[in-house]
Amino acid sequence: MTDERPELDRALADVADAPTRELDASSFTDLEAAIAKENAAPLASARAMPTPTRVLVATVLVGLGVFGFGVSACRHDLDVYPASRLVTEVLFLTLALCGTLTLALRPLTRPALRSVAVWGWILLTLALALLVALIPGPHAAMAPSAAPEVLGPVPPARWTETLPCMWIGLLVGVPVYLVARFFDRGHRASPWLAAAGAGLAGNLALALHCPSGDVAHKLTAHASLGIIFLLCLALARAIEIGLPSKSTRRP
Amino acid sequence: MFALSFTLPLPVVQVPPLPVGHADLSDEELMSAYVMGDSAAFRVLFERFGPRIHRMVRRHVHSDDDARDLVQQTFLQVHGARNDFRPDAMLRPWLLTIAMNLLRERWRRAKRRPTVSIDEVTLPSDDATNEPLERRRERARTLAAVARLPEGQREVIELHWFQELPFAEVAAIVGANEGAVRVRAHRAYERLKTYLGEEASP
Repeated sequence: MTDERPELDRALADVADAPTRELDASSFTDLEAAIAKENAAPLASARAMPTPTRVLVATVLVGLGVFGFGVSACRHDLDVYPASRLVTEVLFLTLALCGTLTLALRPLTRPALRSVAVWGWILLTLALALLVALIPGPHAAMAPSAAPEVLGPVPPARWTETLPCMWIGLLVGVPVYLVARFFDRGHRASPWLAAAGAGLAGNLALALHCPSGDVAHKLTAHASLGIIFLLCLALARAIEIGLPSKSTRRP
Repeated sequence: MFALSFTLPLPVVQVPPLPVGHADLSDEELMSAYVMGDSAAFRVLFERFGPRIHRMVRRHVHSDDDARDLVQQTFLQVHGARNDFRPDAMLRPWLLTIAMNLLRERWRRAKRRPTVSIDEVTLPSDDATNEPLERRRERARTLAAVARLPEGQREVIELHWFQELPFAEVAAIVGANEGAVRVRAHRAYERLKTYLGEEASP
C-alpha cells in the first residue's frame, strides 16, 4: 500500500490474491435453516428487540424480581436503620446492577469491550459488594446513643444465620442470571457479566431484607455471592471445555 | 385441418427465484427492506457480502468448514440484530464489526485450546488449486507471520490492508480512536517485516 515496504506488500498481496474455495449454494440454505431454528427458539423475539428496549425490559424484569422480594420480605429494623444509609447502599448496588446488565446485553454490532474493561467492571462490582459488607452495621455503632434497648449489640456471625441469607441471595441471583442470558445475543463476555449481575442482585435483595450489621456475616453471606456465581460459571466452563482435552494438546 | 402440437416435458429445475429489483438497491436499503420483512433482500446481502467475509475469515482460520461456520454465524447475528440497524447507518462497518467480533472470539478460543500449531497454518488455496508448492509455502509463511501478531494488530492489518478500509472506519470497527489504530498498523507492519525477515534468513 505504500512504497516503504514493497516486499511486505508483495507478500500480503500474494495472500490476498490466493484463490479460495467459494461459498457453495448450500451455504445460504444452511443459513436459512439456522435462522428458522433461531426464530423457533424460546424468547427469540425478546432477543431480537432493539438493544435499548432489550436492556430496558431485562432491567425492569430484574428490578421487579429483586425489589418485589425486598418489599415482600423487608428488613424488620427499618424504623431504626438510617434511611440515608439504606438509600445509599441500594442506590449504588442498583446503579452497578443496571450498568452490568447494559454491558451484558451489549450487541455484537458494536466493537467488543476489551477484556481489561470487562474484568475491571466485574472487579468493581465485587469491590462494591465488599465495601457495603465491610462497613459495620449502624446497630453496633449507633446503639449506645440511639436506641440501645431496641438495637442491642451485634450478635456474632453464626452459620445458622449465614446459610439462609446465602440461599436467599442465590435464589434471587439465579433468575437474574437467566434473564440476562435469555436477552443476550451471544457476546463473549455476557455470561461473566450476567454472573456478576446475579451477585449484585443477591446483594441488593439482602440489603433490603437482612438486618444483620455483623461484618463477618455480611462478608460470608452477602459479599461472597458474586464470587460464588463467577466460580460456578468458571467451573461450568471448565467442564464444557473438557479437562481431559489437556492431554491431547500438542507441546 | 388441425394442428398437431406437442408439449415437450421440460425438466423441473429447483432454482430459488431471483429477487427482482433488488440489485439496484444499496446495502442499507436492502437491510432496511429485510428489517421490514423482505427476506429476498437478505439473500442479496448474503450474495454481496458472504464471499468477502468468507475470504476474510478464511485467512485466519484453519479450515474451510471453520470459515463457512463463521460466515454463517455472522449472518445469523445480522439477522438477530436486524432491529438494531438504523437506516442512516452504513451497513459495511456494522457487518464487519460482527465478523471481527466473532473472529476475535475464535482466536481467543484457539489460544485457550491450541489444537493446531501456528506452523500448521493452512492456506485457503491448499486444496483449491494446483499452484506451485513454493508459492504456497511463501503464502503460508506470510499467513503464519500475520498469525503471530498480537490480536489488536492482526485485526488492523486485516481491515486496513486486506479489506482496504480507511483508518477512520477501521477505528470504528475495532472500537479505538484513529490515532491508536494508525500506531497499531505501523507496529504491525514493522513486526511483519521482522518476522518475514527472520524466516527468510537461514
